[in-house]
Amino acid sequence: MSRVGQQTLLERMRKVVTERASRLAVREHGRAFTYAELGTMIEGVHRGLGRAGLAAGEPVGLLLGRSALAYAAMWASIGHGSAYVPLNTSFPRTRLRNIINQAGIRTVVCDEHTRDLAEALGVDTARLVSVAPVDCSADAAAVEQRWWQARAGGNVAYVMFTSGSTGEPKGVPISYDNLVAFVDNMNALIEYRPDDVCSQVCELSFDFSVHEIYLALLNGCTLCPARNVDLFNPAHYVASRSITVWIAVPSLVRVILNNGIPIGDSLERIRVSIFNGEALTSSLAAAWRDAALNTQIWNSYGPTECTVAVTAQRWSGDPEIEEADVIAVGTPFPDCRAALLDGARIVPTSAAADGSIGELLLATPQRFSGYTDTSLASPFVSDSRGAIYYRTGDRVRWRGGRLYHLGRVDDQVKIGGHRIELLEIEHRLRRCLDIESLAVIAHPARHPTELVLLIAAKSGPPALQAESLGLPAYMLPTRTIVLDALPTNPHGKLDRVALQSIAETQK
Amino acid sequence: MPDPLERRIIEIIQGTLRKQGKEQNVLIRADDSMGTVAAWDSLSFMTVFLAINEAFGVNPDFDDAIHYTSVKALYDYLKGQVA
Repeated sequence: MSRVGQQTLLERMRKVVTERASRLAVREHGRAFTYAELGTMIEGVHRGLGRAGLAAGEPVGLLLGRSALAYAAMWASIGHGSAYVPLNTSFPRTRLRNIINQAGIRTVVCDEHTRDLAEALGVDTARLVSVAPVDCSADAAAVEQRWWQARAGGNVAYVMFTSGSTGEPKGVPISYDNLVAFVDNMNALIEYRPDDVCSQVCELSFDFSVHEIYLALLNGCTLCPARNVDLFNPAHYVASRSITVWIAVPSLVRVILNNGIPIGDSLERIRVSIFNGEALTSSLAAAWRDAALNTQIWNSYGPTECTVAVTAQRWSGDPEIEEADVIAVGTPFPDCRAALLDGARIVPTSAAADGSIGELLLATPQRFSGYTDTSLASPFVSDSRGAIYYRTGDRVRWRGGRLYHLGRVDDQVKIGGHRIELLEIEHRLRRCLDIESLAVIAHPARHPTELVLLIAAKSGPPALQAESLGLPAYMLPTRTIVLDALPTNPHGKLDRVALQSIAETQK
Repeated sequence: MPDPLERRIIEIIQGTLRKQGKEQNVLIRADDSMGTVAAWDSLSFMTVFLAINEAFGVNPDFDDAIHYTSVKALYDYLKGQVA
């Protein structure tokens, strides 16, 4: 098994830690860590994992929020050749247990806040690694560091669990090689400067955080993990941390613009804004440019299965690169071959007619090798020359050398950057509410902002609680409409067009 | 339209009190406090306060914790963290 990707990542990080030892690596609220201190912390977690008996290639659960400790645990896992699996503490326990079981996690890194949760999830206390208070003392710093010496293990850097249409979350393993390819592609396109201060607002279980964390640290920048409370006043977070590289889903910018920018908080230090996860409209981009006067604006796109992003498009107000107010997601990275699936025919974008529409297929070094659950249907197709493409499920238009995202070909939606399988929600609701006739739709149909539950019932709307349903809060419908019966089409199937219309009229 | 921060605080208080099992269907409103909700008693006070700090990623301010006995007081406390 090739360990080049693992060694490349570790060697690059070691170089940064060595060369920028005295520069700030992570600035949390109320405390900060230099690269030397981060290196010490990585070593501490690395040794802790060894003491916990972590076997080569065995996965590591990270029961941590955005923090220096979480970043240290990621690098320590890479050093061990072990995939890390972010475990979002806000998820219901049933979902966390499901992820732990699916991934085969026995070793978990936690902190003083999450230790009880780890134990409640059934993790053996001997396999809990906690480095708290964060040990960056002189004694710890004097210990010879070995975290960057790649231990032979697996080839998976991390596993992200996304919503699955079967009713269970599905694991997406991303290899070291995938991750290196992504970092290199993004670095070739968007310049990071050593004095940049980078935001970190995404949950670690959301793969856009990979962009935030790895690009910042591997470029020797300062990374600023936001507390959850900061996300209720993101403008103040940006201004008070002097953020220069701002990475977010468009919804978060909408929060800033809707709230207004508090007096005294300036967004003028932002020089690069990178969006992903949702449709970026030109009206929102223009409003953001007016608020953050010195920023470049980039729109990026990619499925979790192809490592965060495979396209990026700079926007400067040119109406040529938008359709119906939505900005193009851009041109695939140079090493990415894109094609459109037209019926059963695979048409490379290089041969596609301008304006062609189809399901987007991607063949790229960033493409994963398959889900952790091998019983799931294969998401790959091959062309006549043996190239293996990932089927994104995204419907796109190829125009003027750029991709335009038009929606999904299935029942998956994205709201607030979260990938959501409507069938997973319906499956759960049927099981837990004991109501057979129900449907969940994303509204409005194009670029949805809310989930709406429609049920056929004689009583009122049921109470929806994340914990009892075993769903994360972002997968709970925010509106319920009770009907006598759900509309069906002439074939007796659920009429989802009619459901959209009902959701529109019954606001 | 309720403030999203206020809505989240209410969800957390409600969820924490329900988990404690004293009142499974307890409902919290924006103007509620320990004085208006039976389940939000002196025993659950610290659990609620810690749950709020945990959920928002804030280091608990124990010195002033005694004042955070209503939805509004918790809202002002958290607003103070990001102002």
